[in-house]
Amino acid sequence: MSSMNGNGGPKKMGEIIVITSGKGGVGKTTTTASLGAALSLKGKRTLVVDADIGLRNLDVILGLENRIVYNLVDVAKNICKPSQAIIKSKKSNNLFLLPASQTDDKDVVTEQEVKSVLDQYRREFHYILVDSPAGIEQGFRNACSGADSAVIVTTPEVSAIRDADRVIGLLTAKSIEPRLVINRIDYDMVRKGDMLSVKDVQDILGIETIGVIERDDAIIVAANNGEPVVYNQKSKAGQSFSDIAGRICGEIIPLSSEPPRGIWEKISRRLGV
Amino acid sequence: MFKTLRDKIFGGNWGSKNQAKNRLQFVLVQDRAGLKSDELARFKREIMTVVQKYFVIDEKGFDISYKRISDTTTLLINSPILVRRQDVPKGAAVGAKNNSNNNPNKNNNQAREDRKAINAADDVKSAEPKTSS
Repeated sequence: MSSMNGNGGPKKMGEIIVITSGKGGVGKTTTTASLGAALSLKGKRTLVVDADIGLRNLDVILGLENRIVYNLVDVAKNICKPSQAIIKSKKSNNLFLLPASQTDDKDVVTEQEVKSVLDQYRREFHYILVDSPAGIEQGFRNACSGADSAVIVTTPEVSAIRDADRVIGLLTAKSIEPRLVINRIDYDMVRKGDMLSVKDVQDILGIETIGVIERDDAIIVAANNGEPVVYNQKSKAGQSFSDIAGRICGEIIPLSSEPPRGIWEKISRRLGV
Repeated sequence: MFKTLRDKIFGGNWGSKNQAKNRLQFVLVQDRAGLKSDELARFKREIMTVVQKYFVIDEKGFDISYKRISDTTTLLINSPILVRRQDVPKGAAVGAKNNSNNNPNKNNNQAREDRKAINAADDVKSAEPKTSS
């Protein structure tokens, strides 16, 4: 298994990271797919797992929706072997998907069953990213079982932050270390005072931030095409996801500050206006 | 350019994000404490009463919040102090409410008794003997 950037030192295999948020629609699936792709581009063998049983989406974001044969529930119930259920991604030899079932609901598997499934893949992958469903019920608990750490996705909005706060409390109680991704920041709105800034969100939630993603049309286009946005070299969001993947691997990449202002804003600032 | 000029004149609070921040802080205190809003109000009043046994405070500025700092959640009590209660001259009216009659000596004795009780309960070594001021 070749490693593109040697970041020194042997890394233990099978680190399980749950991607969760509380609030729905803030970008968990996009983050899981993009981080998975970014890690695979760094040479890390990565499995992304869709734990949103009954409402699967990770397959669609990765463009693998017509390749599904078996799924997480089949593996849990021993209907198939673990290797039969994972699907290699289209663009990366290092990225695999374990899809959710679309016809069951979230009570069809227990936490222990999910943990056993994930344990069967640990030795073969550097990273296992689990896409959690929204909410804090059984689906969320299943997604968290076996996790070594968590990524909490929030947007800079009141309802998302409130839910993220509750989830942080629940994860801390389970001794799962949470790290924050702030999605859909719009620096123009922040400057106008109409959006909470990165610092505002960090102060309120009080946990380590591992990334900030700007609102980017390229993400929607990427979803339309079934290709994670990291493959789009011109996209700022893609670059941000790559940075997060680097930080997960232990690289030191400082959070980029606000983008430089336009020339007229710079001049008016200097004039003290 | 004119928008920043407007912000300069009106103090930059034009946008809605400060509202968002205040509302979030209010809501998160309740969520984190796990107390219902009437319990939280009672809790605040009781803490304020205890603080007022030792200090005269600015009641309007008194606030309690829960702050998360990495993996711990801390109770933060913000209590603007006007003067230490024991510094109030004898016979002078005490600004904040207290439920005893206006006898500073009695207040000092009561405060000493309270301190003893708290120290004993906490199993902390007692403070240096204070001379009354």
